[in-house]
Amino acid sequence: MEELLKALIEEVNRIDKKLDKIIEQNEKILDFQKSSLRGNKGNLISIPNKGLKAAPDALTLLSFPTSFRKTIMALYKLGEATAEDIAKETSRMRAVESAHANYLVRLGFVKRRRKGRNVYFQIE
Amino acid sequence: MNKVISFHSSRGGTGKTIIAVNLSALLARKGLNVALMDLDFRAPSLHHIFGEIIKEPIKFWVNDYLNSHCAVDDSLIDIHRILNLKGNLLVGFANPSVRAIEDILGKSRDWEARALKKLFDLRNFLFKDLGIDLCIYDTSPGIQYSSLNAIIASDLTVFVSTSDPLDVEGVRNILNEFDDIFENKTFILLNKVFPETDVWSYDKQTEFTNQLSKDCKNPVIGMIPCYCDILKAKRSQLLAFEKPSHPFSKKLEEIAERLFHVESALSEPRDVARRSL
Repeated sequence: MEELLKALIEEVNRIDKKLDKIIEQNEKILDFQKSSLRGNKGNLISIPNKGLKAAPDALTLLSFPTSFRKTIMALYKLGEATAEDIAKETSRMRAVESAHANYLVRLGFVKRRRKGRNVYFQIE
Repeated sequence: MNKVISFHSSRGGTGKTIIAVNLSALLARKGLNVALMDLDFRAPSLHHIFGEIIKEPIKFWVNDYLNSHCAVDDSLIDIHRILNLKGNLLVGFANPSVRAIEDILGKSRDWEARALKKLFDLRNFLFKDLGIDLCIYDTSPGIQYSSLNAIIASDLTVFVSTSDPLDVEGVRNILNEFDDIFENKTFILLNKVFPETDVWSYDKQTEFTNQLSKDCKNPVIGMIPCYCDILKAKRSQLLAFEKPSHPFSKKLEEIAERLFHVESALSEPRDVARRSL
């Protein structure tokens, strides 16, 4: 009986190690997915390191979905701009531009700055 | 107006530089304030055309501006007095030295990203601070960073192609592959079309341009015949400016009018703009 229990514990430990490996692999996949975004044609958009503010180059810009690219192009033309300024440039809703600009901030392509009650976005 | 038009091609030798130069001079003579930028860093040519006219060494090149070695206005030379033009004509020259070309070829992706930002800064400076009405970019042929940057920073792109099937195929490939970047702002201009070909009859021309527009998913804005005297002339680059009654000059004027018409129509929905052609 004691031997049977020992064998059972060993088997549980073995399964536990296997599960640890699977969890570790899944975390790696999740990290990779977080650091990349599917672009317009299914290609991956590389994202700068956390905290790094980098303007997107032409090829990165092309890999963006059109909706995001419009926001970036408007920011290039306007310099520093609020979501409302961007919305005027793109003829889209302010809420859409706000969401896109904030997402681009999270991706590290756009810098956000609060000035009084307004939030300004800018490509550095 | 405040628009940027880039002249691009799939291969070299289509005549986009001659068209860009002459169009700039023609429009400046009419009173528009024009900026002409040489963004063909691999094979710069504007200094060859204007070098003799300005008669002084160029202190700063567009390369220097993109490398942050000088301010925007340092890299621009106003030649409207020399050519006796009504409007301003600012020209930005690309550095033709082998070292400068090597330098551009070795640029990193980060540098190209900064260059793109600088092209947008340039655009804002030209329009807001210098009162420029129209900026014309002469780009490097094919797909490469400098030409992509120029196209992205433009409001309108004119693809200049000869009627050579290789050229046409190149344009078709680029426009189909990179349709996202060219969306809603690209036109094809056929240049050096042989006068003896049968495409010049109204029906044939319509059929030919319609088919080309369909293949390239973008409208044809005009066709310019191949003029032997332009190809043979020593200073062919400024021929349209020096000889306003030449058919080439007339064709360019027609194309400029169409471009402006299209430009104003572009604020309308896409299909309306295209119908206006």
